[in-house]
Amino acid sequence: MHTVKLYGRFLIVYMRSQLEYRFSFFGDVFVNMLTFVSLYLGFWVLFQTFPSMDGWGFWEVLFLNNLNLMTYATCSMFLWGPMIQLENTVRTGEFDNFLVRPYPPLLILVFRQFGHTFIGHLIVSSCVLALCTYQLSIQWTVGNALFLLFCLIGGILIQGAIMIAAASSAFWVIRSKAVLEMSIYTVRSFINYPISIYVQSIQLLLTFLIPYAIVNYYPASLFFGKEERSALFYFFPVISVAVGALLFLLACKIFSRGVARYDSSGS
Amino acid sequence: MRLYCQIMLNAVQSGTTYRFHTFITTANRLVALLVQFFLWTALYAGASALSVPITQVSLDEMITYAVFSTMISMIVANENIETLSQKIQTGNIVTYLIRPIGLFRSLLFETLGTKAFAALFEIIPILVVGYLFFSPAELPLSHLLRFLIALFNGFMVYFLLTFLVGMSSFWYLRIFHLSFVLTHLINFFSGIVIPIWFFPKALYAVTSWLPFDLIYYHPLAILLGKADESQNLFAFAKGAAWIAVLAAASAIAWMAAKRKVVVQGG
Amino acid sequence: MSAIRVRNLSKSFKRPIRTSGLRGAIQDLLHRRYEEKKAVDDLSFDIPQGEIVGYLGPNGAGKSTSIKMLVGILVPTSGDVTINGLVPYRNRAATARGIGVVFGQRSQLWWDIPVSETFQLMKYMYKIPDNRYKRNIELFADVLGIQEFMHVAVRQLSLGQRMRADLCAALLHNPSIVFLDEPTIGLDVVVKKKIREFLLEVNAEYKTTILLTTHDMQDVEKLCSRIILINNGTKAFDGPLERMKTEFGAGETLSVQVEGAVENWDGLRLLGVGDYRYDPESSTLTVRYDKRESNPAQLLSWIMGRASVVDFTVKPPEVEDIIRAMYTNPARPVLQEVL
Repeated sequence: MHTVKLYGRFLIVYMRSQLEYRFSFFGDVFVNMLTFVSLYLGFWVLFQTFPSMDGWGFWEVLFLNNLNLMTYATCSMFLWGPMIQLENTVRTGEFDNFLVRPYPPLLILVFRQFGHTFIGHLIVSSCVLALCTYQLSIQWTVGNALFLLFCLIGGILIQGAIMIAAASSAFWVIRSKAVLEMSIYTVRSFINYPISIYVQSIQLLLTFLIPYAIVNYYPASLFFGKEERSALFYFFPVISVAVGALLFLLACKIFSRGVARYDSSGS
Repeated sequence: MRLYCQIMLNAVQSGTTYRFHTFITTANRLVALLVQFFLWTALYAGASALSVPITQVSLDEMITYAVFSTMISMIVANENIETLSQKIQTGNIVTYLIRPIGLFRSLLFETLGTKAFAALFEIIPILVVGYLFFSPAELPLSHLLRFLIALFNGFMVYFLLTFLVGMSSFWYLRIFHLSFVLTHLINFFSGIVIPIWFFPKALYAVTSWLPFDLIYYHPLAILLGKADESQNLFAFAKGAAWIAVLAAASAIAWMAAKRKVVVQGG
Repeated sequence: MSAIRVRNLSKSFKRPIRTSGLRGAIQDLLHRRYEEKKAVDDLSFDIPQGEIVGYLGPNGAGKSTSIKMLVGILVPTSGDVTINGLVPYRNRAATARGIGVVFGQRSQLWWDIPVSETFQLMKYMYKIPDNRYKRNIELFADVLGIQEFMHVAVRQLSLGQRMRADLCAALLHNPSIVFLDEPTIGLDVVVKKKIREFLLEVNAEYKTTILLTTHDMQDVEKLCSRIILINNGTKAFDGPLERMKTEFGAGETLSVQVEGAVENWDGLRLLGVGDYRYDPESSTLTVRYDKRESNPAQLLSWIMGRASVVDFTVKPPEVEDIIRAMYTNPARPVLQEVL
């Protein structure tokens, strides 16, 4: 599609110009990798003493976190920047600029930037995936690979949907950045651990209201056979993608609703 | 003296305007506490199911640890890196060159003032919530004095570290790199979530030289009655040493920064 | 069909009323009250293709709000607006293809990449044919001198350079209408001159309609053939620049350089002049008067009777003065006409 090619062209130019500042570029990437090193090291320390986390072992917990990380990083590369800045963009009236283009404003917001710092996250998660494969002797059969791929796609869509929907609060409330940060940091921190450790109500919240659990817990537990590898194993990836797509469309709809209400009060 | 009191008062008053921000931060902390509660419960349950004894500390004590860690976080945490780097980027920092009291003392008392505010509006709710929902263990009050000294040490160490990182804004633009590194060093080495008791020997050795465990682990260890006198002495000595080193570094950094501003014009 | 067609356009905003004090704050929390502020009230005008219009008015008069309705950013409360035959807020993408917009302080360009690359991306985005693209770039380089910073990243440009780049970006796809909101603000004289030349050139070659918001009266003098003045959300004036000058340009300025100190010039009041200022450093007396009311020769002879005159000048009204007079006292000129 024309729009995809347009963004592709931008990406090429953007990466070329970023790589000119070699030091900051690699600094950005490296520093972002540290985030997960400290988290995963923390897990490692815990598992030196404690044998299991509700039936999950160290590498399984790492795999769980990895799903979260991979989907979050991929979606953030395109969305994090504009969504975090949306509160400011709307408040100052800078959002005006995005309404006078021949494309929907959400697309324009994405097209103008690229979160190259998240590449660091992807490097870490790829390495971790390889490590988990080795440590857990995962066989990458066609079935397993497809399962993972679909769950990743579904996960990316869900992460994106939550990001867009939360950021859209900028059109209704002043402190929308706080709403966004609570959604993508605070609430998402629940899924750093298998949600089976939580009380029922929290599990329900994370499955049906803010469905982060679909991003990593259910795929991982099905993958490792925590629950019966029943027909659910074959259906789940499809459910994941379907739910993801639906939520993503819903989020875009919420965004458009917000735009319709935009008052452009910045002088 | 009156000047310092005034600065503190100003910070307390401006604290009310940051109401929403502190509300969000408190909410975040409560969620983190909730997660830790479930986490430790699950970990201990798993251990007892597999008949693995956890000798260092009991579940009740871990929950107490988590509640009070959150409380310490409220006392110790500050946003000075952001404040400093903003002042430097915008050039407002020059006002501190002409003020009668220096940047360091100004910032210190501002921070103390904000923390006094926090003591009222954040810590008490946390303690209430903590005791109502998580029923932490009882605390031996005999250690209160030592706890307060350790807490003060931790506060100063963190203040100095953030001051130094903030200062680096004069020379290094991408301040968030250093800020990140500091945050993650603290997240791992300070015992904010995982107490040092659980660290394997090698890491334990590394941690004992670093200042980070003074911020969370040591005060909490005293609070739970798990620090013997030799450990206390070592920690206090380490605290004094590190504070001296960091304070000296801060002084040098500020002098160098002032020279840079005067020469280059910011 | 006119390029811009506006009929009875109105826009009201609902703003929450803030009651003061603690009790007020609680009241507001429980029972939100709103007041309606009418920013634009029953605006109507037609702008044919190829006209350069100065869209003037004091701050807060409703200029920006009305322009935002014209380009599709805001939805009108009532009334109609069509741009090139399209309703802007209902067909944003289609309207956007036919217009160019420059908002003074905010850039439309891609921030992190070189200017030349931004233009290439816009070429692709607006599907501009190769030959037209090349011709425009040449024209821009010629008049605005942008080739000197084509390879520089947008974020590193100076304000003047960025404004020029923004202008090019807005005109690259040959829009039939261009909306410029304070395009020369904060720029130095040389750049301003270049921009004005550029706009005239584009208008001559492509018959581009230009709607220009500005507080710079030189812009108005050099570019605009027609002036629409907005005050308090309504149209206070709509006509050729010349008519504005003759109708409202009755204020003149008499500058007299005197020798010797004079205590006060309050006697001028008796001659019907209220606006005068004496600068002791330069020994200059500046008198502003309405030439329909006061005679400069009379004023001068009165002054000569009280001090030794070294030199004097009579200056016709500045566009700025005319407009200021229209902002503050629009009713007066009309009264004069009647009399």
